Amino acid sequence: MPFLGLHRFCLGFALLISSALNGRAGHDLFTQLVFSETSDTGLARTRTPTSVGIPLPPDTKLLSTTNLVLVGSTETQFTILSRWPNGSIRWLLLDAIIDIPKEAASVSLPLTTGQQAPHQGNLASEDASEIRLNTGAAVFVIPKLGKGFLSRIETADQQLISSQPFDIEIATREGYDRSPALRTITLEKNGPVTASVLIQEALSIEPDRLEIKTRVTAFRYQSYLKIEFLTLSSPQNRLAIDSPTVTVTAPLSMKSLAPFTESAQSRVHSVKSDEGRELLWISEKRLDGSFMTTTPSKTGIQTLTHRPKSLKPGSLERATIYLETSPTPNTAATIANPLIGRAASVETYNDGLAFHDKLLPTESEANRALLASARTSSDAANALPYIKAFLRAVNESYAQFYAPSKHQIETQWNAGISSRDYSSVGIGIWPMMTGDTTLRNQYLDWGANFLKRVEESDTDLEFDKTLLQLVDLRSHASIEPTPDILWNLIETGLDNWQAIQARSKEKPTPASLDLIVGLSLTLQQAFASPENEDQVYDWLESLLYQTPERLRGERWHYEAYLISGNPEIIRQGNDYLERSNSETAQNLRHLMASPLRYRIWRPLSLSVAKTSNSEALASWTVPPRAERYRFKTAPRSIASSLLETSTDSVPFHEATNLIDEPLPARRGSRQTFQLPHPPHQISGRYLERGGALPTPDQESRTETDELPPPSISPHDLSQQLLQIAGGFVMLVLIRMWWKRYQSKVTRLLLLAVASLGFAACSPSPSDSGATASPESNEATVSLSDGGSFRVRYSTEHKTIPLNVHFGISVSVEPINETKNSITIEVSADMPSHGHGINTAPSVQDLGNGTFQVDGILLHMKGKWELYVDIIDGPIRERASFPITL
Amino acid sequence: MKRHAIIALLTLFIASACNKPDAIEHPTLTILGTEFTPEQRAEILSLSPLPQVATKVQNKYAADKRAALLGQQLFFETRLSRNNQISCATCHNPKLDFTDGKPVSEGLDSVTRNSPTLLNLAHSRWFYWDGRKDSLWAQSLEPIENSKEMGGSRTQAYHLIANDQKLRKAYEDIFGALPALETTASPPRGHPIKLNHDDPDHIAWTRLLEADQQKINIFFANLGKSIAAYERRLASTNAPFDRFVAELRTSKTPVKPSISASAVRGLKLFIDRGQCTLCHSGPNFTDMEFHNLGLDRGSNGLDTGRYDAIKMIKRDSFNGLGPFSDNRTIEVNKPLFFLAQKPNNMGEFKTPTLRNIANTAPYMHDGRFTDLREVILFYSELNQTPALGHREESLQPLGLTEDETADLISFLKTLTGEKLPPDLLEKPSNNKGIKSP
Repeated sequence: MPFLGLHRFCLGFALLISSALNGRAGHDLFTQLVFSETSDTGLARTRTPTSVGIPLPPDTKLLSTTNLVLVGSTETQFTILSRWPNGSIRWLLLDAIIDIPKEAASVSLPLTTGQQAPHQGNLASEDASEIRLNTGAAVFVIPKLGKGFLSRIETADQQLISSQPFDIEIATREGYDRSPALRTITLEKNGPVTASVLIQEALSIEPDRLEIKTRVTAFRYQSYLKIEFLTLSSPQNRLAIDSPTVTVTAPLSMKSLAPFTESAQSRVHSVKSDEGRELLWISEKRLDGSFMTTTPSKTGIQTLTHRPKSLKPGSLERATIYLETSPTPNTAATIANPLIGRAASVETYNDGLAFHDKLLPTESEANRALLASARTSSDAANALPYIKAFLRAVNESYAQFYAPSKHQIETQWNAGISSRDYSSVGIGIWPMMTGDTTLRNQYLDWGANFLKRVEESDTDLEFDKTLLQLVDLRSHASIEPTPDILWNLIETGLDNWQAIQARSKEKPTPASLDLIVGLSLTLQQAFASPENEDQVYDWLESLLYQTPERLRGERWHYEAYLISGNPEIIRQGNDYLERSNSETAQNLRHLMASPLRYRIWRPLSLSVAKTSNSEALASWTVPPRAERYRFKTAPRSIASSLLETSTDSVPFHEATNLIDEPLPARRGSRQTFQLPHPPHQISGRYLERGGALPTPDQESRTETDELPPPSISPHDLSQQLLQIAGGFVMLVLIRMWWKRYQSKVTRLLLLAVASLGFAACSPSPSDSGATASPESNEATVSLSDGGSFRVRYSTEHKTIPLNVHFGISVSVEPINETKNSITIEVSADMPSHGHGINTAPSVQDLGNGTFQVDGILLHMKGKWELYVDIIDGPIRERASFPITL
Repeated sequence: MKRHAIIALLTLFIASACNKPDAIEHPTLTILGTEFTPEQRAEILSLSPLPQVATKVQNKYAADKRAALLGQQLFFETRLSRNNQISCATCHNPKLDFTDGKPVSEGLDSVTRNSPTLLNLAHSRWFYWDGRKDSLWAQSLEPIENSKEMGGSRTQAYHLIANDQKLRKAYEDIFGALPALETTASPPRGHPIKLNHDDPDHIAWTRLLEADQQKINIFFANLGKSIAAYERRLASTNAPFDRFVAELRTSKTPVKPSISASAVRGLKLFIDRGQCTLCHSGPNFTDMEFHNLGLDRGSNGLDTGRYDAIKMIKRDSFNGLGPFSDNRTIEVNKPLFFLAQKPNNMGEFKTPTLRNIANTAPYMHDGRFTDLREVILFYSELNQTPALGHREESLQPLGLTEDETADLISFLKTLTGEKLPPDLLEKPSNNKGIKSP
């Protein structure tokens, strides 16, 4: 019997480990997207085209979108933007047609696996002469030859053909004209929800050059087009173009809606045309002082005039307008256009003044929800991917207005050139990170100009300093951005992001968005491969070197805390966590639970012997859990302490990399590395890869040493009592018979029978084996997966009841002392069924690490895993108990 | 020597008593040529008989015979509907074991789900295919006001009872005097509609004084409690299978089993290879919970099932923890109190009872399968792509033969209970009381 407890324990652990490896069951519901109504007009938004970027964690194992469904949408279009190394989808762009009912402030649509409805085919079709965008409400025809961006529009009852082309023209004092030879048309995107066509053209009078890009986007069910214009003045241009006029012409039967720039304020006017149709037109004063006006005329042609202040060399202007086919009264009722309803209502409630972002669907809600889900995710290992994905989500929410192509990123970067209002800090990262040398050089050219301007304007803004540093890259032998510059950028971006959130609950401003784009691109690039990930760690570390004073201040860099092996920094981090409940602190607590924090670069103790004039040999003992080495050399001593600020030494990250480092040999053995040239100084580090889970042998050893007293179940007890009683009765009988029967034969027979009887009564080894099987007797004590807590549970029921609500008592005993108050959460899964319980058990803290848990309902027969999650400040660990019903 | 033999036997007996019960070899049971292990026998015993219905419920009139009689009146009352032609019995026809025999029900309009039987409903934890109600009384109210079903309204019901002397007396005998409304010219119809405040019924409802709204709500809940009291009596009992289990319980091998050899083979499949009792467990052949079988889209579009219903029940003012419940303790409302929405609830539907299943075609939440053979074929092949979410992973294609399918159907047919007393199946005549079942 004493072996019984041990036997049971080993089984318990075997199951615990396998459950930890399996992870949580069921990843079928990927995310819940919340689409919000942003105005209080109370208008239903039916069949509204909506775009949103969706980050997915790496363990969805979702390889294609064929089985993805957005429940409640009329039509969906998925574009895979990137994948995790395991092939599962990392980043998804969703275009969907959704309804927001009149009374609902928001609709919440689950994105889940399922069977897609047969879609209605792609919007665009193409032949040699034209591209047709058929939305169901109208057909927009884009000519491949000749001028203009539209040749005709067909609706149910009319065909709109303009005597003058639907076109953009730029008039300047120099009389620029268009050179049609440079025109290229590309069908960029084509799906059941949306399709877009990019028209690229250029005006040139040697050597000056002005590029015009027009993107025409159509959406299913909609009778309007979204048209974006981008005009880019080449940095090589000789002169600024003063007061250019960008004129868009369209037939009067088109309504132009909301020439759109994020920073603009507009006035909405409404006039009646001769035919009695209502026309909307908008005059817009952009914050940068340029104007966009729409002029209704009675000549059959309307013009939309965009007048930027000037087109300086290397600057870009952009504008977006919506052109709406003017539906006749018959069809007006059947064509649902949220833009018309919204634009018209703006006039009434806000004296004609409104920010245009009210016209657009917002995704920030969805992004926030994603971040929230990252925070509440109990799967700590996924925290970092989620946060990275969130940054990408921010990026994408921006990119939805500008297709997320390299071209668009380039445009964003270009946009930064035009003025300092468009802070180019973040955008500047892109050309630096990309392998595109033209972009880099272009950027550097611009940088030189900018530097000059900054010097002239005598500014000392933080941004400008950073920009100066970037521009200063020219003087570097290598064009690679240094870690400190990159981190400055990231910090600035993060700071700004918070400021942006504080300023605008709905949408960031263009200036801050640029930063975010840059920031997220940087991170995206940084995390794209393991090598880059290392680089990020290096950057993080350099942050530690360079800003020790910041670490002591309020502006705590939690990334530093996460990777630091330095006791002083950890102490400061703990202090910070104790006194703060800010978002950063919460994020930090969450990240703390991630196994990533165990990945630390530690100093390697080296001894170096000079073997010849040209060679030296470094040798060291291989530390446990060393995954990789990094060696650096420098003419001066290399700092080893993270907080060392001596001017005599070189920080580790700034020292020169040695290449061809060996991989760690067997731990504890001596390893050597031949240094090609005798260095002045050499320093080494090794990457210690720890892990969240203690190894199995550690667990069983700990538990064997500290076994609880073997418990005896009521069933065992009754067995033992029966055995004792049986033995006693037999002894009495034997004594009685021994006296009565004197013959040897009888006594021998009696002895034989008695020994048989005793043998039957005594416990056999096979008995204890059978009792310890998990099916009949499961462990009620378990170590949490991080090894910090021993958890026990008990229930008043003899056996756990099937399909009846029941409660358990839980006691949590920390292995080491903890100063936080512990809370627990309880759940259960059926790993082989892919689902868990349908209840949220309640937890009552009874003090002293004991809890009463109620409301567990195991509704099916089979193998369950009962989970107790222990939350101790930033630590979250799970104890698992197998239960078989 | 005879004495020696007795002593030896006695000793051996005691010795054997000392042995663990597990070690005792239970003989395999053979019934009409089909073998059952002791565990399988225990499993069969767990499937019958049906226990007494719970008495601790959120309806204090549940066992009140007068309420049941009023409830029976209301169950057949077409004047509760918008067009005075539809009653509860339209879709829950007593002649069709309280179903309507159609794939999806048709009231004023077609709905998207199949009309389930009301038999043994009192044993349920949740109501509707998606479980969006947690009591029989709350469930019985929704179809009255649903615009696609009866299209009536609580205010209309109030005026009906107030102006019909017989109904009014029956109501007042149980619940006390019908409260008078203070709103002058109270509207003939009206009820709150969350999703459409422009609906004339909603506008009419808002015209009522708040105190009157409360009176009508209490009155309406009482109607539900009456209908529930009637529906609690609709029990399917003493099926051939119940008699079979009773025999099995008392004798080791039923000498004259009340079910056929084919049904016994079907029973074995049901509890053994088919693993049907994973979900169709207990005497009402349901775990009362929700599962995703991985059915494809069907013809009624996507249905999130349990997932959205969880939100609905939590905010339902007629739920068991709400102001109209007669027992708001956690003890009685554990299912609702501890209810949580989980991702795997997407596309889940309630496990239906299999009692009287042979009489309640068509099958599944949307009535997609016309007969039991089609249902079994589905489980046998599992060749549909889940419309939403993921299939319960314990479901594996059974690959049943024709004979096995026939055996399973034979078994399912043994679950049809005795006919209910005729006076429970029709509108009670005025001078006839309700008989105790």
